[in-house]
Amino acid sequence: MAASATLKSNDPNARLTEALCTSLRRRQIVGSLNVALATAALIQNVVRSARYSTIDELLGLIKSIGKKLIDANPKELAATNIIRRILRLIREEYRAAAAAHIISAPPSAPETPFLGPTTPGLSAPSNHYLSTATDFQFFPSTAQLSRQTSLSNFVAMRHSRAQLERSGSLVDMQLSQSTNSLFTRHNNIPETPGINRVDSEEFMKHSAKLKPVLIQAIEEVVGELETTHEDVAKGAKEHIHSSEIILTMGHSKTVEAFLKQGYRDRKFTVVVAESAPSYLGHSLAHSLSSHGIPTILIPDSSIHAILPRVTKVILGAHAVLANGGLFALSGSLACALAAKTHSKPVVITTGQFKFAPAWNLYHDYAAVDFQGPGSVIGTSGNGGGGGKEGTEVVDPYFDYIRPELVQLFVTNEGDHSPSYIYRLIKEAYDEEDVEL
Amino acid sequence: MPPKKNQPAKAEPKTKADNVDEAPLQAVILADSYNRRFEVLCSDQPRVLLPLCSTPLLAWTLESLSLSKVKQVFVFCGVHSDKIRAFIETSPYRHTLDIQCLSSQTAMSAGDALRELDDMSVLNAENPFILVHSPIISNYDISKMVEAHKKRREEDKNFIMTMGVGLGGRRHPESPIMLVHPPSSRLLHYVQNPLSPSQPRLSIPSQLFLDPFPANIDTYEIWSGTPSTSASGSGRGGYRDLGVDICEADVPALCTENFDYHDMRRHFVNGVLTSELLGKKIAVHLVGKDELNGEEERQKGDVRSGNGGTYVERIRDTRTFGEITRDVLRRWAFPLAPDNNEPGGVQYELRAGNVYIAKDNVVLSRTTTLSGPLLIGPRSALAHNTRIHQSTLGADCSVGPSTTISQSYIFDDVRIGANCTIRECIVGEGVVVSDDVVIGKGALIGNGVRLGKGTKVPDFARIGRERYRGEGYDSEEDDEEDERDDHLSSLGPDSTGYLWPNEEEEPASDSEDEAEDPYEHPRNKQLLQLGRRLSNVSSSSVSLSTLSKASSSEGSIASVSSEASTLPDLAPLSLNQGPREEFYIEARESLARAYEEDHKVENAALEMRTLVMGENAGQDAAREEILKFFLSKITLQGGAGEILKSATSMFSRWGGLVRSFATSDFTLIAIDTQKYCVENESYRSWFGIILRGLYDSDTISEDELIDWRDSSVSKGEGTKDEEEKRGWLEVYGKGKPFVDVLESMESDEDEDDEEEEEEDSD
Repeated sequence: MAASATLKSNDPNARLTEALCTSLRRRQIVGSLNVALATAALIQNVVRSARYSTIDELLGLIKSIGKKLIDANPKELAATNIIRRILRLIREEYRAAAAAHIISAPPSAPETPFLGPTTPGLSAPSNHYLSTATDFQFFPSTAQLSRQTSLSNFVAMRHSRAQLERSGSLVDMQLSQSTNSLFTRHNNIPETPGINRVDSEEFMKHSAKLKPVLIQAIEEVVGELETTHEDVAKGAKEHIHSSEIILTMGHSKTVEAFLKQGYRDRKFTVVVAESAPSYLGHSLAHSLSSHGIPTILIPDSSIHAILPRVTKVILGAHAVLANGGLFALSGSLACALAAKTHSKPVVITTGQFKFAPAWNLYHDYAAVDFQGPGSVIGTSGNGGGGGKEGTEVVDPYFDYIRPELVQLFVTNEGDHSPSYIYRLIKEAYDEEDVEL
Repeated sequence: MPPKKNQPAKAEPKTKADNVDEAPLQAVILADSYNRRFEVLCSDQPRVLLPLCSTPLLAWTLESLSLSKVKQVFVFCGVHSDKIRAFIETSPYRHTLDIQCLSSQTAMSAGDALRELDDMSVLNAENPFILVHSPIISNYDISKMVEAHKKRREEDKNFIMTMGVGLGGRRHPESPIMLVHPPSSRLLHYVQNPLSPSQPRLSIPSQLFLDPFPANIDTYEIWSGTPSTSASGSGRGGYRDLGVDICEADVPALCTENFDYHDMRRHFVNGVLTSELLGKKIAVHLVGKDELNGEEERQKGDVRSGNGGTYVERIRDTRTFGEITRDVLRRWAFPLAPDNNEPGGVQYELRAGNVYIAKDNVVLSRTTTLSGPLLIGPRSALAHNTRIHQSTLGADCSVGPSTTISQSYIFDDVRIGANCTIRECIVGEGVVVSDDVVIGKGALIGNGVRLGKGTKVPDFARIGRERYRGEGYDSEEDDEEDERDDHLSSLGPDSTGYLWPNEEEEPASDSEDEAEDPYEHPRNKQLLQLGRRLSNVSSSSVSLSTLSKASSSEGSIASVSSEASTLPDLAPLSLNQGPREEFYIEARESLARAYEEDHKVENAALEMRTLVMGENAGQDAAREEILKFFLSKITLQGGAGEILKSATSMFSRWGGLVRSFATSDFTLIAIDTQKYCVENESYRSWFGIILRGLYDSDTISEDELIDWRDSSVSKGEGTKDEEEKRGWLEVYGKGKPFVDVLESMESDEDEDDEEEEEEDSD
């Protein structure tokens, strides 16, 4: 892989990357959604304007940006999640395009999705060319059938790959070595290596035509991000019953949209914990009550006391880990534990872009993102920084909530239990990108 | 450049649109401190490159300015400008900021620097710029201050400068006192108020109140550095000058016009405020106030955002260096925290208790005790049984076994041996500390010094690689040669380095300017050092000053020598122990004058009264003194008749004077006379006669005499010992018969009177 590919320092993209990194570092961009959107915009820019001759170079470039972003703020996992997602889409598009290119030498291949010959019984969406094209080209054997049926999505393809590996097919071994390696496969197939070179060179000429496709793919990601709240909220009716009393805290946009959507069909009461020291609960309570929802604002200290009257706890997430645990605004752990004590269900509403292919982040002491003491003891006092001298203040912004405290994740793509998160993550990202 | 050219600034930073609104925000950093507080550490590098949490102060400053959306930075260097240039060449900030180094060897003060800036005309004349006096660490968005300044300027063109003021924080020996009109944010008066020697008085020029009397005086406020202890503002810190100014182009221009402006505060601010000709105004901006007002707005934004902080601190001296390091480690400057946005680019791991350990090859022993907040730089190694407490260690340091480091700031590449104790000090780069060394608190060890085995560095010592260079360095070469040997021997044979004279005994530098700076007073300078306790020093100095005030030095000496003072030792402390000796002398002289020159009683009384007021002596002392004087003038020669005649004539002439000093109770005249007789043996037998003389001359009336007779004091009550009481009783015995006689006689007279009256009435 051309992982060493980096942007030249005078490249405008390098400057954009640096700008995003510094604003992440300086916490000028915070919040998973904002970070995800900013990252997607940056990658889109890179794809549009950066110079790259092969797809590996592009992937390496994007990965290097991802590394920089994670260094800039390791707590904003959404940035790398989005990068992984984009990487996967690029690979998919590329495979499709390359396959089409191989089928029909004329360079018009990558643009129109339905160029590839349709196989009877193949239900794959149009952009999954890899399966159809390669099958037709190189696998007329029994392997073809199994692949055809299983390649309806990417994860399934990996399945088939494993099967093929087991069956000992040399070609498939190579396939598994590099998922984006139509060319390498060419190499190893008893054909002249010249063809490969010709192919890649020829293909490079058309990479300009591939670009719009890639950009379009990223735009889809952005569109998906922008509609996350609505998509999550769609299922609100199914999760909220009439005259429920729902506890929430902080100001999660997803929770807000979810509750507002739910209130169209059901009548319920929301109890909002004020969430010191950020007091984000105040703004959520204000927003909900101005929407007509009966809202009660309580101090955090009353969470446990009010839980017997609560029927459900709905929380937002900052990042969801592969084990089903999650990082959420500090105080969420208190809610979740109290709910556990009183056997109330805890529902997490979140977009899937917050799912991170990592599970052990909470081992790191600093993972909960400690803030300055100013918001806790104020800055107008007499002492260090304005607070009280000699007082050590610990102010984590996040809590880590263990998977066993959560009953359900409501996401923009269906509802899942914590134990299933790893599966979703596996499907969403390419294995190669887990480590950027 | 056409003013309306609106091309994207990012693409071509050099051809930025010259539109007034979009002009890049400029900042000027004064890299030189123009004082000598860090001198021992700065022998081969400028102050701005001293590492705080192993990152140069300049990097922190640039990062803080970047947070404030500053685009163009001018670093104004004095000495070591090459080092600053080299740093900027290699720093990552050269990509994000337009940094220019301006160097000048001639600038000796902030005023000089501004004059040179004015000459260079690099600043955008249309727009205000940020002037940073000392390296700052801040998470506050200073551009908010710039916005506020622009708004104020729209209303009043005369605001040429806005000074940043912070509320809360520690006391600092350099906090000013400001007279402010908060609604308009206008600064009316600025006084530097050093903590020591404390100035009990503050004078505010009367023209502020007189022409014309300000109608809005109710809204004036005095902002001082002392934390308010009143109930309303309980727990509130004082106000402090942040050393961050928003200046218009007028400021450098004014500095050029007035070449005697050196210090920005003492000269410039006071100059502008007191000059009516200029008519310019200076505003103050309370950092954090806009956030308080915009509570609602703040709620909407994410609190984690880097623009939410209000922490602004500057490194002025070793004291603030230590304080700010600890603040950074306690994450006050968040998001500028070592684990997260460290300007130096070193990666740190945060552990419980604000312990920051570099991710790069730090070796900690299993028996190392770490108590935070502390920071350990990359590739440092701590041997077993080391104890690190609230300190920072730079990169590549090694610490020997059983060494204790407490509240110290150790720069890069320092080797520390075994069994050392290092407390509250700053150890420069490349220092080698051998085994068993004890470094006292407040010590500053310059770069490259070597401390031999078993060296004991005294508290607040300064040790440099090079010899101390006072102002008259060249001329005193020979003298210093000897001095140098002394210093070397005191440090031990293996040591390389020179003990510098203590900061407070350092001769005042040549410029008179420094001498008149109240902050540079040796006592205040002492407080600026690392390791000094403000609470102790200030409280003791305050109590000392009140003591010395109460005992008003002169008097204490005089009264000790005074025979009249019965309590010589404690006399100065108690205000009720009677007047000073001067009073008695003055009073005697005044009376003698009156007696000899035959003054009128009224005039003599007036003179005495003035004296009493002036010396705060009190009536009793005065009356006693007057009686004493006149009684001593009575001739005791001859028989009773002679004495009676003399006494009567004396008191008929001067009785009024005595009476005028006994307005509360005339009986006291008798008692004082008795007292005088008791004290003077020769008068004892004549007391009755003198009483009669007093009566005859109408100095004292019959009723008062009867009161005297019946009072317990006259019988010797309240005297100290038996002998004295006997004396009193003896004298009383002399006086009593006269009064008894008088009483009976008087009652007869009364009867006669009554009869007469009856007759009259008839």
